[in-house]
Amino acid sequence: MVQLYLIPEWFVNISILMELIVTLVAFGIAFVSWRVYRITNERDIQLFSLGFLSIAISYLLWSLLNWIMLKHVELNIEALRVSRIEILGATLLISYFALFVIGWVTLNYATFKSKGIRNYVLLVGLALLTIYLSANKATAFYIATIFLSMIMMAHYYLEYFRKKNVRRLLTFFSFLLIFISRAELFFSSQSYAHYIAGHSIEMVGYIILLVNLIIVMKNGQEKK
Amino acid sequence: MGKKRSKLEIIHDILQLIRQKSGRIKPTHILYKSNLSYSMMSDYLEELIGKGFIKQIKLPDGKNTYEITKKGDEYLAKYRLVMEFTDSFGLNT
Repeated sequence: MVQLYLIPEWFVNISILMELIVTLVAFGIAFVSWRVYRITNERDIQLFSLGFLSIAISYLLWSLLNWIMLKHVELNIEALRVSRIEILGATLLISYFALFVIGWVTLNYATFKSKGIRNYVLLVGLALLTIYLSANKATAFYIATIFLSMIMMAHYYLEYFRKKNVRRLLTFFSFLLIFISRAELFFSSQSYAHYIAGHSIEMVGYIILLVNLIIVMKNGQEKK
Repeated sequence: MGKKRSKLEIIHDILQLIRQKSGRIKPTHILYKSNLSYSMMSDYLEELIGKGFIKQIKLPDGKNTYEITKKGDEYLAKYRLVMEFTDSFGLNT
């Protein structure tokens, strides 16, 4: 039996809305990245786009999972205890785990200097196998995503100090918030306060990414 | 001494050189103006041909020239967006 997280009843609809907002932001970044990839034909940018696409789809599945839970679980209890994942949309949950992890591995991989298909398969394989073979898949999933988001945050921290500007600072700050949110969500099986905090911080992180994307689009317009 | 150029900046500089020469240029001119070694220039030209940004044209005297394509022109036109994006999201290709 796996306990994934606790959600207070009043927060279920809000969390679904937040997940949909994050889905839209991630799709937006994937779309703009793909446009830039089409111009440059650069592999890194293609991977960045595919990483965010994978994350966007994973959030869509998560919101769908929460919506299904909302329909299936009785609402007259203090908190929705998500247990017995085999019954409650196990396929959705496993797909969410897999796509989310693949998305984050791909984002990390896009920033690496040395690349190769074997390296990528090794990273994805290790991450997925660790979760799959773990007795507590939810814990393994959260630890893996905390680690992956921490590596990304460290990358943007170094990038900012390599060349300081507002856009890089915003990117670093958004990944810092996403990292903190992953750490908060790790404790969400103990108290729903962590779930609310994690979800809220995560959404703020993605909104900062959206603001950054808007700045990029505005500054990147062709001169007339 | 100027800062080290990124790959995308070098591609831009080469395409800009070709565009300034009415869209067609000899490799010696690229070598002279691009601040690259012969080996690096050859690698970049090969990559640019592979990406469809330029095409190689053989002259009747057997020498090569390089011509910018529509895709190469699009790269120059959207260069600001490309640089803003890669700089902001830490993709220093």
